[in-house]
Amino acid sequence: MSAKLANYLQKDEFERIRELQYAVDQFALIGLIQPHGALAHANEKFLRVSGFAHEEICKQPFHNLLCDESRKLFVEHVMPILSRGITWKGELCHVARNHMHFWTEATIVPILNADHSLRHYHFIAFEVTERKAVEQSLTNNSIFFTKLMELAPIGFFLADIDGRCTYINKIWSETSGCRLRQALGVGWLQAVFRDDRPMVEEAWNQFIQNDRAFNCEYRYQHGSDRIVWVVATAERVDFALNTRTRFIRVEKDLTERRENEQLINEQRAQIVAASKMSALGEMAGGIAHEINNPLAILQLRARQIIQLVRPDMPSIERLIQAAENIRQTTDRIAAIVRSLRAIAREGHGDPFLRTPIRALVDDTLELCAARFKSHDIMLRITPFSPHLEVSCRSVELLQLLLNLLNNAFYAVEHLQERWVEVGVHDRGDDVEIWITDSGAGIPPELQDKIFQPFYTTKPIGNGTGLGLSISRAVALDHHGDLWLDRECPHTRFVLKIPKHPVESA
Amino acid sequence: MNIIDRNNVTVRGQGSQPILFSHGYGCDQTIWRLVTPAFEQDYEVILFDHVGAGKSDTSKYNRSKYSTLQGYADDVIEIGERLEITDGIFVGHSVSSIIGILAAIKKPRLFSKLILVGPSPCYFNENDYIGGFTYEAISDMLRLVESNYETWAKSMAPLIMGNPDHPELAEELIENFCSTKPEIAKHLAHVTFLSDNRSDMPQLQVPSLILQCSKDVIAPETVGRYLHKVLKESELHIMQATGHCPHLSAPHETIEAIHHYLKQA
Repeated sequence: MSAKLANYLQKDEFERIRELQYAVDQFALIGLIQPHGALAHANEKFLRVSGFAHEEICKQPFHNLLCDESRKLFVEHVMPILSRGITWKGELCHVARNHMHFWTEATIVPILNADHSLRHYHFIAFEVTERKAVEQSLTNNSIFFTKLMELAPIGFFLADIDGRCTYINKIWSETSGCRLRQALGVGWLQAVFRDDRPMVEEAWNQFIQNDRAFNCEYRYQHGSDRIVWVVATAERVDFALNTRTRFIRVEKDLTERRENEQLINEQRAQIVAASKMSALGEMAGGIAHEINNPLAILQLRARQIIQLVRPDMPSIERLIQAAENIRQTTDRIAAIVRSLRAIAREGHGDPFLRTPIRALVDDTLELCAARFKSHDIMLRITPFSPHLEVSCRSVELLQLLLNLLNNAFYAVEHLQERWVEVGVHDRGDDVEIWITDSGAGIPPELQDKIFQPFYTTKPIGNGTGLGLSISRAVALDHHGDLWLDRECPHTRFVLKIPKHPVESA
Repeated sequence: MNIIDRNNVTVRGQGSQPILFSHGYGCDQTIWRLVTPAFEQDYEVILFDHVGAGKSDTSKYNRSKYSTLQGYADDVIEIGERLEITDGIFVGHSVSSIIGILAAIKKPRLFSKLILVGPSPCYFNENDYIGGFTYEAISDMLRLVESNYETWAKSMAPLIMGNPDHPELAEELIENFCSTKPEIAKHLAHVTFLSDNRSDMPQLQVPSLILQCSKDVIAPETVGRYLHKVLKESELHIMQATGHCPHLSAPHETIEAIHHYLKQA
């Protein structure tokens, strides 16, 4: 009875093992490796995946069926472990009959005899070629993008979720003069130029913590003597899980542009000076006239005094009158000289001061009224409130107005009808000064050109062609503007200047 | 490849000489927290997590690359190259000290000195070599790792840490072990405990200090003496500290020993 039962159970167990083997054969690659490393047996699945016939691989050393790298691993690391009777687990790359590679995740189990000697090894594995392909393509992508960033001609800066630097490319390092070791974490801030650092730190924190846009221009202190300007913009990215990078910042070197801007500013200053001297030259005749007239008066009055000062002096009243007249005339000459000195001076660095329009207009007229008069050009000033004031650099506005009046002078000099009108209009926050002449306006095709530098209608030697472009730049500098009134039937330029100081952005 | 991201590299300190701290099995860079502040004044302290540990990018874990310690050594070299380190100092604990040796063999200019805390090139006994474990013990241990990682971690941590009078130390280690992804932790246990790098040791040309703890069951004194014999220009310092993690259980002694070694000409 008991023998019968044992027999039955054995048969049952045998059946169960056969079933298990059948099931495992469906998905696992199975092999039997002899102690010296030759393959003794391979299951269907192994043969199907590798493409070999059983007789082709049997008795072959198992490591011959592996790719070079896995073979090295197998011979140097796996076999020594197995030979000590210890199970090994890991990934192996095999070479199929068609020379294609396939990957398995393998477990190799040593089976020992009763005397602890090795009987053989069981190789049980699952194919993971597809997973390895995905792994490989992820690695390739990552290498590809790093390469792109290294080759890009702009600075790349990556940061983790807390805004701490995790990557910089070569260009960033060259631009900032800061190496990765120094830049990591918050170290990069030390490379930012001292004066810009608080602004950059604040903007960066606002961007990281509050999602504010990060678009800044700032400087890096590159070594002790070089300043590099950059324009930077940053974006949040949500990469695959696990990676720490969350923010990408790109930076473009602006230094050349900035240096050009500075050069342009310096050249502009030189040009303003040149154009001023040119205007002065143009006015020299007029100014001679301005001073000649009062000098004639002085001569006349002096002669009068000589005649009057005699022992029998008929009228002391007339003597006093003549002396008073001399005093007034010298005052006038002093005023002309003051205006001349003002206009020859560089006024760009002056502070903005509240200045009465009346004084501006009067000072300007000091320098040109006589010339208008001697050429028989009527110069009209329409009445305006003496309390009107603007915030300005008076020297610059004086130059600007004189320039406009000079232009008007040239425009009407040879016309039948010769007049120039200066009008002042209160526009609430601004004051507009209109300079209108009797000319018929500027032809439409030239209207856009007149504000361009080096454009002039004057004969060679009479103008630099910079007057209007610089005048407009001065007006813009004052947060105002200068334009041609296209509606006016005559030629009219309008200068707009704010009454009160404007906070620059 | 963003190496800094992958290995969660952090840099701190005011000095210019780089000193790289490399954590051991089942830990991350925070395990050095009691030691590194003492070096921040004079050195540039560089810390990182091996792939699979701490805040590293575990998506970069690749079983074939990390099937031997050389995979981790290559990462150390990449970190060194990315940070432009030459003649740095390497401090490695346990398995990481072997990783450092492999990196220094492949790139001799990377480090000028290695400090090896509880190193062991091979954990099993073989012929005259006493690694501390029999084949069977290793085999049984790895079976336990495979079948019940948590039980293994809980039984192994107090053994590794020693210092039974301070159970909180072993508790920290258990927590560390269990915060590592189990699949990665299991694989790394295989790679660590089955590694036999004895044949690589004579190739090291960089001077080293071996910090050997007393009563260390993972890396017994026989292993320290063996390494001192096979590593050229090595110094052996037997510590008062017991267990396998002196940087946690005896940070002051560890700091002193490292300082003393580095101050020598």
